[in-house]
Amino acid sequence: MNPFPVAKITFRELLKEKSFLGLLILQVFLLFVSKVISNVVAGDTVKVAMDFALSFFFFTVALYAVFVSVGSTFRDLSEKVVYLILSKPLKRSDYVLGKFLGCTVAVALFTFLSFFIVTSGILIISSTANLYIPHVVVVERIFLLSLLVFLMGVFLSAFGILFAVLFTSQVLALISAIFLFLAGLELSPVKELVVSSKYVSPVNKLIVQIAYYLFPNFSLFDIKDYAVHLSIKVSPLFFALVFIYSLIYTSAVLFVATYLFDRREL
Amino acid sequence: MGVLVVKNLKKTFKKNSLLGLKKEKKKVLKGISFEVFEEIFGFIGPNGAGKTTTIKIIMDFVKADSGEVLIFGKRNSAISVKRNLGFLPERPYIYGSITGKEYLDFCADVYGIPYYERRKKFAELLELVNLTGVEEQPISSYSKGMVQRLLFASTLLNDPDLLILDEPMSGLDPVGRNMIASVMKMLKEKGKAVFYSSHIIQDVERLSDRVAIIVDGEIKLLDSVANIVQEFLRGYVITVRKRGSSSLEVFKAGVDELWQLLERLRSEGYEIISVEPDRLSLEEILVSYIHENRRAG
Repeated sequence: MNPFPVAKITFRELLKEKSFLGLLILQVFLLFVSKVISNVVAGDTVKVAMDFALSFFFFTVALYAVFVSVGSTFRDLSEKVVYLILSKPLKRSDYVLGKFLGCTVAVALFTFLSFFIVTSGILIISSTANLYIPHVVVVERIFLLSLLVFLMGVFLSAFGILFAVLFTSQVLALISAIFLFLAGLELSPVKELVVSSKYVSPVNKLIVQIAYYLFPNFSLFDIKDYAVHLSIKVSPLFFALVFIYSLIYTSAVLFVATYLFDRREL
Repeated sequence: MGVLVVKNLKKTFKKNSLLGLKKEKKKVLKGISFEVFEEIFGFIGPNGAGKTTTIKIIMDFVKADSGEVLIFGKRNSAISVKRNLGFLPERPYIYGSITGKEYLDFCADVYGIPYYERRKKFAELLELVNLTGVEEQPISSYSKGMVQRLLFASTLLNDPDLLILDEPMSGLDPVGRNMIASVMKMLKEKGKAVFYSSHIIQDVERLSDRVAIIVDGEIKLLDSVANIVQEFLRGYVITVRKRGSSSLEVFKAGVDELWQLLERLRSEGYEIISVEPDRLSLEEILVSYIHENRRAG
């Protein structure tokens, strides 16, 4: 296995893409939007601003992960860059894994820079408010959220590559990945609602439960409430389990992507 | 055994008909076979004849329905054969955001070329393709011909024993075409094999040792250029001048009549100015095969 050359060139390519800088600038803009919204909404202005800023952070990283993985892989296939890559002593699995690793490093850098932007913004917002905020705790919690957001980005990148390999239309691949993400975010509350309801038939409950376990659960990565509300506690075991869950699921997705790519005529 | 052996390749593509109700099958390759030795081997044919499909199968991008491809005596799916192989696809594209040097770095990473050797190798290759000084610029700033030359240079980084080029001359100006042609000749002199497809028949005729003509998925002709020229020789055109006269006259002779005619002209007091073969060009031969195929089909 030698996925590193593909990973390196993928990262280099993604780093120089306009979307990288563009979405980081968007993060700064969204921080201002969060501040403006917090001023017009009733309640703790810092918490409201944090809530919005972290939501924007969460979705921007998700979008970045989907766009780079689908876009980069799909372009390789449609523009026949794969011919140049696979004519060299590389296996198709090296390509898939290399693409994934390149996307992972790009998502890691994007998440880290976004974390820096969002945290700085929140600290500036909180320092201008006349409320006591334990800055160290806030930064620590946003950092833990960033770790999970990064894992989510990695997970989404794997799906992005799978869809780019699976579909012959880039738009379809992008829509599928975004739909999967949104469905995976909302599946947990839907399942809770359906299972606890008296009005839903056992068959429908079973279908929802099967879908719940089959679909990736992206709500696991969403710990914005933990970052915003300092009274909420999350055990270290939760982080460990989420890490194991994403590791296993991501490996399975990459395995399927490699299997399909191996059989695809280029 | 040849460096590249292609045995009885067959390939059918399935195509959805209108509304996708019925799948149409199109036989793209109908059992083609050839061998490439340490030579320059030209692969020509009209659009849709199966040239690129053949190359895709050789490179293991597409699987043949049946048949076999051996490179250096091994199956083409073996990764090890690609260590000694260079490949340039038709209308190649590479990320515009990276620089030429970064792309060469990628290739060097794949072949495991150590960093201390790279500077010298890159400089040699860039000089060979006349791209010295632009390697630090993003590829998006390159012209189409420059991209083609950069990617051609990258195929030589591993000093391959077999070079497979799909339309290497397309998109190049005469200087670029000449440069690629001279590198191909240089490789052949070093004992390497070059297999390439082209629609610029004059280049193929000028460069190749042997040529295969593929029409509608079948090899119609496979021979050395010298033999083809001989086979399709119609006769000779002799230009002469009567002694003491300033006007030129032209005579035509059949293949077996040349010497007789020359003797007669000399005895009649003509001065021989030139003798040129009257033959079909490779292009005319190709066109005749295409017409023949249309009439048969």
